[in-house]
Amino acid sequence: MLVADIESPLHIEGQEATLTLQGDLTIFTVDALKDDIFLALNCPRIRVSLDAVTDIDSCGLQLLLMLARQAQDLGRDFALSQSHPEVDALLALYGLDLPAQAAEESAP
Amino acid sequence: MFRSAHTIKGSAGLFALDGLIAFTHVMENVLDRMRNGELAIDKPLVALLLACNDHLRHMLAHYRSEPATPFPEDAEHRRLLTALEAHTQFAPTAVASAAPCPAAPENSESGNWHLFLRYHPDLFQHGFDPASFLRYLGKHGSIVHIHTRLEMPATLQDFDPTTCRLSNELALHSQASAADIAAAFEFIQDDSEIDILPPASDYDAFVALAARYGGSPETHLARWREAGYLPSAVSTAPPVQAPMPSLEAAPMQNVPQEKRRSVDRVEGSRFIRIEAAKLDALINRVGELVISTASSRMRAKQTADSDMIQAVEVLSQLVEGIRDDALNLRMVPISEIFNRFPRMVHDVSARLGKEIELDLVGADTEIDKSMIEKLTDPLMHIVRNAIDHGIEDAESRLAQGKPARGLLRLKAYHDTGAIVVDISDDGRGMNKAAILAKAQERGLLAEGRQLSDPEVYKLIFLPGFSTAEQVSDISGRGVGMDVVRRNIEALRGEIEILSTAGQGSTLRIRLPLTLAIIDGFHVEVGGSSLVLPLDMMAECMDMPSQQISRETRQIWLRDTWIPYISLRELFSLPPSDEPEYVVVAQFGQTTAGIIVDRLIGDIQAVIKPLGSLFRSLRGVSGSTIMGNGRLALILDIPQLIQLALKREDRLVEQRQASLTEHSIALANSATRPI
Repeated sequence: MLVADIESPLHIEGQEATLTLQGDLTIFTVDALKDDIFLALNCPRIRVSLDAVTDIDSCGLQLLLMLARQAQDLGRDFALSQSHPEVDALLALYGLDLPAQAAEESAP
Repeated sequence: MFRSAHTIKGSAGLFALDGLIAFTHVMENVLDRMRNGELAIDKPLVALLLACNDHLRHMLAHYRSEPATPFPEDAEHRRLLTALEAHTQFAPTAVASAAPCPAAPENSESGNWHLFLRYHPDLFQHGFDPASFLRYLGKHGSIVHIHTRLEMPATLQDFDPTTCRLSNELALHSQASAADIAAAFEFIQDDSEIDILPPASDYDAFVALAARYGGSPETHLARWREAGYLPSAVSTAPPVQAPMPSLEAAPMQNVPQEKRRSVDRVEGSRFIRIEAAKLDALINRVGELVISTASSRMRAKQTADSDMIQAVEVLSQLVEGIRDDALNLRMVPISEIFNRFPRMVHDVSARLGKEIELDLVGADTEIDKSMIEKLTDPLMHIVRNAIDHGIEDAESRLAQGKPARGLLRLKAYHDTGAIVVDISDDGRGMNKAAILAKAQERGLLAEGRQLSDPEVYKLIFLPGFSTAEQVSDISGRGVGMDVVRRNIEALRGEIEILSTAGQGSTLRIRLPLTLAIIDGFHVEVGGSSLVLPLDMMAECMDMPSQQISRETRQIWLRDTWIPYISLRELFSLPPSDEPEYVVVAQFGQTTAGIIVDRLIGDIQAVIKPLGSLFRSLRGVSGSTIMGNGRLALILDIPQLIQLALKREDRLVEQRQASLTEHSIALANSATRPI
């Protein structure tokens, strides 16, 4: 479950940071993930892949939102590389459209 | 009960235990119909609900051990579900997973509820997820607009990602009542700030809320106006000036609501949950305080300084007050035990085909928490016995002119420094002749001894005693009552039986108020201090030089041999060359002498449990710290007496054997031809 313990989800190549999140993104895993996640903010371009996420709760979503917000504040190019049905459903429940904006930003 | 089922369902929902949700949902439907009076409450229904209760417990146990695997829907599960469904007029609907309603901002009329949810920071840690509340709301209507706010931590280093920083503001289109909507938040309403504005709330209500929100009220109002929350009539008014005059008036109008909330808070914070170990630590510490105060008092008296004596006197009074308060902290209402009885009495009486009314009196009587656990089993046993043996079946009751329904009463009260629990029934009472006959048959009674009524009744506490002609699966195996007595005596309590033939009997259990402090007697062995519980001491005397049998460890005391045990021997110390003393200790019917070096005197001992290293030690039940700061062990008298009795048996047997051998040898030598 604690994927971060096995392998860091963060890969930095040049200007781009790729966060490949796997397994659960929940209250049980956020603590282990947060440091790696925020390291990504050092790069101008941040891509987050949620493809392999198996479960997400509001606490996990909150961490994602923080990253997105901070990226926005720092003027980083932040985007989710792929949409994920469960994450999308949760975002919709909260009336959040941030990933859509991020996707648009990343489109060009 | 409906509420409980609902709560279980709600909590199960939080953890996505689908099997549990489906089951409680059907149960809830039945309970709901009962609540609305659509369903008559009869015996089969009650039995069914009780069975469901047990089944729920199984399910919970299952999910506790294997949270990941769904509960296997066994035959019992299906049977209960079918039976429950027979009581609902509608088939069980699958619990709607409540598809989220996407935003529809154009529907921003004042006919919407407006909810302002500021979650408590610990919400996630408490196992809640705001998403589940939102989904639940989706069942009551549609969320026409929702705004989620995220409060960023001051720094992204060293913050706790499990702290909830989310808050929601939403408009809900729903026909549900205020109570229904509020119910969605019943688990979190104590901690989190939940504000619900009903449809058509006036502008002032929003202004008042904005004022309470902290920060700049105008920002909140502007945001809400943008979201279309504000009533249209006023939202067209000039944005900044309009709210200003009403800001002061607004809180006044909202006073009742505010007040209600604060009352709720107070209710919620009336109790604090404290770890039991912390409480024990406090009581320990207070115990030491009591001891050291006692020693300073002694010292002060030695100085003969009257100011000093007076100051210490005041101090020790205060300390005693603190001791009482601290001990009081551990007291819990006896209802913790009593509450288990209605169910048990129902089950047992149903199995025996008896009608029994249970009357619980004084359930709020307070009792030491540590006693609760040890008292439950004995009480259960006594109650079971009363139902089985005490209360007659309906026919014989009617024949005797008693009401067909038997009465069983559990009554708890305080009485001169003790807690008394009475278990009374209006059954046939104790049959003295039967008890005596049985005791004689089992060889538990010396021939020709005259016994008083209470003494006769006490025979039932002897091991191996049972008068029930038929051994049922409920009681009558004769293993019970002596265990009951031992349990009660382990709590330093005593049992008394009052009984009138044909009218019923009462078992009266008296327990000390606390287990933490005892009156002890201080003795010394080999320079070490030991404490005996004073109430188990019968007398002290010099070690007799005659009337003592050292081989069998017996002392001749007032026409009878009692066993003795030498603590020096027990602790492997060399024999003393000084005169020793005998403390005669009594526990129940058993008596034994305990040989010590010196007798010191009375002492107030605060019992401290022994560490796990010493837990297996026999003969010692705890320790205490004395006024001089030294440690003393508290002797486990019941165990020592048992040990002495066992040794006595063995030694007497050996001696007889060797005497026989000796006499045989003598006889042999006498008859041997020369």
